[in-house]
Amino acid sequence: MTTLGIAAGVGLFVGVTAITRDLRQQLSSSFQTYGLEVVVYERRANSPTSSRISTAQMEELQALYGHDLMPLAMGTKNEPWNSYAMILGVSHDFLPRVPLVAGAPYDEGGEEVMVGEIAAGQLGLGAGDTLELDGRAVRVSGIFRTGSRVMDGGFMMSLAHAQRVLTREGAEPTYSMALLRAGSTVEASSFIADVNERFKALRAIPGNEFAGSLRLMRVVDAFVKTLAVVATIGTGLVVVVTLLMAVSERTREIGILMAMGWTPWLVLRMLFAETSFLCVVGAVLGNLLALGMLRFVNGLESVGFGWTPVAFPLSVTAASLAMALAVAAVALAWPAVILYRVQPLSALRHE
Amino acid sequence: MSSDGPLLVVDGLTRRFDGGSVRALDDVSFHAGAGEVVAVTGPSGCGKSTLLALVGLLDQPTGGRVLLAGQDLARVRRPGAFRARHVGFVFQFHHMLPTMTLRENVEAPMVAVGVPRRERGRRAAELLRRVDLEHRMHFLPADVSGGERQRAAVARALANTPTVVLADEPTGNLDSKNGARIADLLVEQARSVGALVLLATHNPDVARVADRSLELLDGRLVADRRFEVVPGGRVTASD
Repeated sequence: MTTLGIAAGVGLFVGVTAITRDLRQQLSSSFQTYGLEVVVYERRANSPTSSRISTAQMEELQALYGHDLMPLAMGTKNEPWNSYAMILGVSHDFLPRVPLVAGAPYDEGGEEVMVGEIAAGQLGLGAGDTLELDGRAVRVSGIFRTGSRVMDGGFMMSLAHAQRVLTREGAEPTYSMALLRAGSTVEASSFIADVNERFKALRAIPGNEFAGSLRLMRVVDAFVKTLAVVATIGTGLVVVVTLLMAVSERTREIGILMAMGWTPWLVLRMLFAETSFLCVVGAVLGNLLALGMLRFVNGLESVGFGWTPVAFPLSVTAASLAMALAVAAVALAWPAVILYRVQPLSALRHE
Repeated sequence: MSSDGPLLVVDGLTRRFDGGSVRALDDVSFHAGAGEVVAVTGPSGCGKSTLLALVGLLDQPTGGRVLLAGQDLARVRRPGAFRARHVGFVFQFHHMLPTMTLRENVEAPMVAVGVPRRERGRRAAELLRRVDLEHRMHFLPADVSGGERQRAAVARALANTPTVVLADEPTGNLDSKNGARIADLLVEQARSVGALVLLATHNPDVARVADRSLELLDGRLVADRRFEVVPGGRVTASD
């Protein structure tokens, strides 16, 4: 039971940490991969998909800073084959940066999309196939692989096409972000200062700070930290209760050891070894549980393709093991106080 | 440790409970030497276990003093370390550690004095061999007979080559045949390491393995008899 309790706590911690770390890493690596130096997005937006930049704002931005500024439209679409299909609308000059594994880039004027490798795999699509999107049949012009799972689980198309798919009927088409490429003629820091000064509703930020600046990520981070504390306290309580029960149930055993000359410290060391073993086994089970959970969630239709990682780095596993051992050490404090008060003779007579 | 004089000096030892209303031990005095086997006899509740607990530093006296190996036990700063080095216990109910094998049980006292793991294993195996339990060393106490458990308890008591072995009714839970075997084994093994044995028992047959008998009644020492072997093999007692 103790091991399962620890496994549950560690599993929750590892699972949620893996998801948030992965999301942050994907956002950061996407910007690095494509050399996107600055991101402009709606100041009050919680996430990239909820950011709205109006057509007027985008025209003003491009008028001021030229065409080094790349507009991007992104959002999710509820389709019968996936509840959160990721739609990415990019300008044509972005296409050379998108590595294709099959087919060709979309045709600017036609009803064509490029499908990310993960989405293509999930839906069994290949270049030249047809897909129903937003109630229309669209042709798959090519399959791309960016290395970012969220993008590779999505559908890339022209800006106008994406805006049409993402915009409700009667509403004005919007963009999600404007991206400044590294090496452009515009100097990044002055651009950031200028945009933030001129556009009160928008926010310009270096690409590598984007993930951390999002309200969604901040909320998720706070959630993960809270969860980590709750999981640690919960796991700690399970271990403390187990240790207290061990001390209580094994009072006579402890009395025998003390009669033989064992100090409370030696007894504690023995208990720590036993508890550490339980905690490490619990942590290993927790990691396996998290892995299973992630794979299960990844297979759900209600989760966007590629949104959930199906593995996590060793550092997360190491952190969970360290947490489990730290919990074992800290949880010994209370039993230690009891042990230092145990009299060998009364412990020997304990029924 | 003093080389002269008795190994154990018990002087006016008194232990009272419940604010002094219960006298478990009342002004008991005696001396005993290294290698001696002393039976402590008397009916249940006469103070045998209390005497052993006080000599074994498991309890504190209300009055009087105990000198063991030249050391006044009232002045021992680290009772655990002193017990580990000088005292071996054999209890009535064997008190083997249930989650440890017989070998690990015998190794346990050596952990307290910091014997390295490999040496512990070697010594434990040797001690178990001496009590004919070599073939059972990897068994848990629950998987061996009562007599075997008690033999393992004797091996454990001798693990650190103690100065004194305190055996509290070590045969109380065994049939007479096994009891006699354990008593003989305890005496033989303790003598082999030159330890003083205090053997609390209410069984006269067990007491006869001793060199001497201290009889307690209501916490008081009422008789101190020495056994002698006379030609013809008979054992007699003299005051």
